[in-house]
Amino acid sequence: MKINILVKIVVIIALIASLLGLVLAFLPFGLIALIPTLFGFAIALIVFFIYRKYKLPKIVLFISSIAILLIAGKEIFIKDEVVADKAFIEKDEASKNEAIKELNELEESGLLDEIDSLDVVE
Amino acid sequence: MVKIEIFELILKLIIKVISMLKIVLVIIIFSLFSFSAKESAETFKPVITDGENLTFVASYNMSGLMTDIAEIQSVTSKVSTKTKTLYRLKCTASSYSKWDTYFKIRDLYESYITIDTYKPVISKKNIDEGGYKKEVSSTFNYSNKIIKNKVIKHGKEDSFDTVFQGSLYDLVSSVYHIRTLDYDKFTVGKVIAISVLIDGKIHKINAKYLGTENISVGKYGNKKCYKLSISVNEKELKKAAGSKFIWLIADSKRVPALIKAEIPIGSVQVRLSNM
Repeated sequence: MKINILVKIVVIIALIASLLGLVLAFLPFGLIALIPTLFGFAIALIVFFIYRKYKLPKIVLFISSIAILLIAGKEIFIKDEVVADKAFIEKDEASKNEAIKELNELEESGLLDEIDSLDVVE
Repeated sequence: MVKIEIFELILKLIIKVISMLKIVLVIIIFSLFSFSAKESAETFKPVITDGENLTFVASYNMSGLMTDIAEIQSVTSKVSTKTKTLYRLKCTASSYSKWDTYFKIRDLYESYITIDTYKPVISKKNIDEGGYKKEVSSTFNYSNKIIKNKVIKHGKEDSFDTVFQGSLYDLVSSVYHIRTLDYDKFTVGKVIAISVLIDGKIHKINAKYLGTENISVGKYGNKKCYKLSISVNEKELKKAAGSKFIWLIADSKRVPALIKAEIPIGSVQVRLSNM
């Protein structure tokens, strides 16, 4: 009786792990999603071979397998890329123009000439 | 209910990782920094070249399994005023499109430095991290040793001055300065003192030279690198091995190949992907 409860607890832990793996597989966690997934898969596999009467390990194995396929598919077919961000490019240009304007003002006040007279390392 | 809790946990983890990424960006940028007064004899020939474009990938690593979070670009170009030419050192961090929905990062760091002395004249920071926006602009005045800072945060503008002494660099310019050091003349264990201006405040950082090491640099294969340990306080410095490291390729350019920072769960890495 006690063993049955223990096995159920272990399988529920495996189920939670594989569900977490599945959620992480949908999110952009990459290979990190494998950690809970493989944990759940391994436990479910062991329980499945020892106690074939339980159905839950099969469900855990199924969920884990889907997660593994999803993770592998995303790793193989989806390439990491940065989206060209027009607003960011404009921000970059605006910042540069603003700095050049400020540098010109510093030059007019003679501050840039003072920097030139500094040693390379003080 | 359980799913909501799990999702909240995941979101918290994402935010934690992203906040660590910020630290790594600082380390990145740090890891390469300025130096103390004794270093003039150890200064290597200038490595800054117009048009240098370095690309890095920032990743979160757990038990050897990694997920890439953002791309960091470091670009060097020249800008001209009416009579002078300066270097514009630009460092941007952009999250990958897969993360944009959850936590979009668009950070821009700039440093305008003199060509001969590598002294920062203007330092700018404009960050957008998951909706958190902040702008900082600092102008260095070397005649009276005062930095004029302007901070815009949550739409509020604040201005204040910072007084400095000795060598001081901003985040980006310090990266380039550390690359000018001649590590071949360093003994293992040598500590390099660093003064860096971050958000208008001066921070003291130490970089300890740990010797050379061969590491894999992506498509460039194995490279001999100078290894440095970065510590932000005395306590960390006293430890035999720190938790933040940087590897610089041991050639004339001293390009950062890998930066690693350990965090309570896993580590954050920034690796060179293109140069």
